[in-house]
Amino acid sequence: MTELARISSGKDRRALEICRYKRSDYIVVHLILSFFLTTIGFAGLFLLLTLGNMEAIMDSIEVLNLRQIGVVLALVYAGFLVVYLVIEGHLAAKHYDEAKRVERKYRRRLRELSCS
Amino acid sequence: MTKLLEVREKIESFYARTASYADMLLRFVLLLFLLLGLAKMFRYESIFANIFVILLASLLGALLPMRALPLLVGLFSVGFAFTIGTDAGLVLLILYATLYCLFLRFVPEDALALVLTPPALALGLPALIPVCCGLRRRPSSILAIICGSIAYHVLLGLTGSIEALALLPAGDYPARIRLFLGEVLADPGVVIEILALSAAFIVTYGIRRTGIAHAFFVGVILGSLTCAFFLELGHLALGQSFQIGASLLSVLLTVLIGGLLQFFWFAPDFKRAESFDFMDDDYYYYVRVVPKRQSYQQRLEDAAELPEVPEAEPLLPEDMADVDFEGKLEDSLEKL
Repeated sequence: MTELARISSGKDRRALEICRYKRSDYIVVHLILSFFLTTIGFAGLFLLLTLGNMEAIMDSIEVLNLRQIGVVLALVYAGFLVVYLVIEGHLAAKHYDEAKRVERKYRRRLRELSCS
Repeated sequence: MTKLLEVREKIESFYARTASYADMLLRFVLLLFLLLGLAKMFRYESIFANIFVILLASLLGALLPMRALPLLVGLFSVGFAFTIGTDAGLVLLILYATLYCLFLRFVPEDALALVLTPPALALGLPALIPVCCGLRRRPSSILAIICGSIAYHVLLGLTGSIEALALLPAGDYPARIRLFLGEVLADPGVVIEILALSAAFIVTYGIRRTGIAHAFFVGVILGSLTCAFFLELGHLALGQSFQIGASLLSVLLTVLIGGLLQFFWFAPDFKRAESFDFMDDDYYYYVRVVPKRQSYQQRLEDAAELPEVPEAEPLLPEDMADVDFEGKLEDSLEKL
């Protein structure tokens, strides 16, 4: 009974909420969230680097090959995205499996309580 | 040593009884310290440096979980930056958003490392937080330490350029932003410091995980020395003068504080360690048992408080106590 209360109202309560999703749905939701956060982070990083070197960029803007820079940026962004999505997918799968273990323990205790 | 162990156990016992209030008080004190430090960095020149505002924010932080502390400190620092200029505030906001989106969202539980890294750097103890995290946390905690270091250097660049920014026209954004952000981005010292902090963390964590005798203490010492070594190497590479005295003092203080924390967190008694092995149907087990260092005073006191156990009743009644049962058994067996 104590363990049931600990799981349902303590730190493991989040595990029970996670297990309401299917595994694939949970991972996909996190991948979508990661896509947006990575894009915002990459945009922020690009903005900071541009702002920090704005004077040098403004001075040499006429000689810059913007098309080439655009292609390089797109490739770097794609690389960023792939890395972050792989990390996020792995972490989401790991969290889900841990939550599933907690949920199994919770259900086992519930069964024991209902049988006793 | 026994006295120290008794003091430790008394502190642990007191904390266990008053954990929720003690945590709130500690968060209040920590936030007060951080916000006053920020106000001092920005030279007490805004509404955010008002002591009542700081006290109110610290009280709010005491009621919120630890994860909210970086948010409060970040909001205050952005507020301070906005008083210097809109561009400064926006740049800081973009920096924090970028750090969160790229790194900090993976380490929400390392809020303490994130908020304590800047004051540790400001106090000249760069290795303290990486070493402490190496003793207790996971490898991902390095992200929080790196983000704390980056935020500290940007804030330092901003506060160091306040007079210069006041001289520049408000609309000259490229020059203004280059002054506090461009200098930091182009500073190799920042990269060297991040590498030194990472090395200290990796060394401490790696030694802690080996499980050798006194691993924690060895990790504290070697982690601190590694950080100092990398920083001095960086000074050499950049053509700056060595700061051996400051480095040694920093190492000494880090070892003292790290050793004290290690005494509270993990104090095994390796002199009484034992090893044994056994097996069952499926596995061989090699077990090394290291007892915790305890004063046992608390256990003696607890034992003294136990109710007296009544004496057990004798197995035989008194009138049968002198009967020779063995002799009688032998006689019965001979007859059989």
